[in-house]
Amino acid sequence: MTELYSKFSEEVAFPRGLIIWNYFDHEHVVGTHFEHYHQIRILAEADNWCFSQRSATLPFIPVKMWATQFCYMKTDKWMRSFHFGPFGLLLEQDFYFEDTNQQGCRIMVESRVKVPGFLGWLQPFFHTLMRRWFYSVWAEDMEMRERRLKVWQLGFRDFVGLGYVNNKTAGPDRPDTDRPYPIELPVPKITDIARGGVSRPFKASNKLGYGLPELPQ
Amino acid sequence: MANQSSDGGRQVSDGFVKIGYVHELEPANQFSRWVGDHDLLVFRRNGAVRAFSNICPHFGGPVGYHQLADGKFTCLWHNLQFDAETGQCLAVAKFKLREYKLLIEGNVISAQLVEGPASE
Repeated sequence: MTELYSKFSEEVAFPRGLIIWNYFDHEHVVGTHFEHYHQIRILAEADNWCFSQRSATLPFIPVKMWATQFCYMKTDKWMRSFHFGPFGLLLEQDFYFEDTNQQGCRIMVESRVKVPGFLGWLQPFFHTLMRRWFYSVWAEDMEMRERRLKVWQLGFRDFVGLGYVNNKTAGPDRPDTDRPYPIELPVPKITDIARGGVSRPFKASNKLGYGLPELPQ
Repeated sequence: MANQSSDGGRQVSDGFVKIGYVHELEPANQFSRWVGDHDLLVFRRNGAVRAFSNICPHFGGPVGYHQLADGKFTCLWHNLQFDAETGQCLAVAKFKLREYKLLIEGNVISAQLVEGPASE
């Protein structure tokens, strides 16, 4: 057997808690990433771990593939993830989160998969696949995280919204850029993801995006 | 005066602030935009232009990311759906999108962001 390996890192202007919330908010997989993922079901979840089944279409491999994933927080700065795929393949990933300041962190991702020795020549392809997948999904998550942080700093409360919007009153004088973002797992669920699972509602949509640019003052 | 941080300094009259233009509704009959600290989902349906909050009460996702389909908006993040007539979430009874009062003058669309006493 030989090991295919990939490693890359990114620095982001988001608190670590928000990044981890994003990884453990499994319901968004068929929402935000609806173009990649078809279905997801949480088989078991508690505290800081989750075992799920999901189907997705990977870059370069235009077929729907099923996998199960187990992920857990080994420490509050280290997430381990195991993807059990077809043909007995096991993709192991380590996500390391390092705070760069109160509202920023660096993420390093290491990915490994063991394959028969004669497939060692796939190493460059594996690295490219991991990078392509990571950045494809990453780009969608970036917009989600940016928006999540924005509403959070405006005072958003989960399952409630923004008080000044709901109450039609004046908003905050300024966003609270120091509002802590706590890590609270598991992330509360709202769909049938833990029983029958959830599917993306459509294969394609007329995407209008996150909105038009703000008007000049 | 409306709160400065809420309207971004675009007040036009009586607490209404400019949020966009009628032509921006083309071609999807829909657009969204942050105006100060408000994110508005503006759409035209059955000939009427209306605006809901674009912020899903669940986790804050963008309700208007996808074009309106079958009379429902579907939030991008977790696929919660909202009735375009009432703003009511079809899955969670306590979730309802706020509707903003609009003023349309020529090509300009304005919305009343603040209706409470703080706007006096």
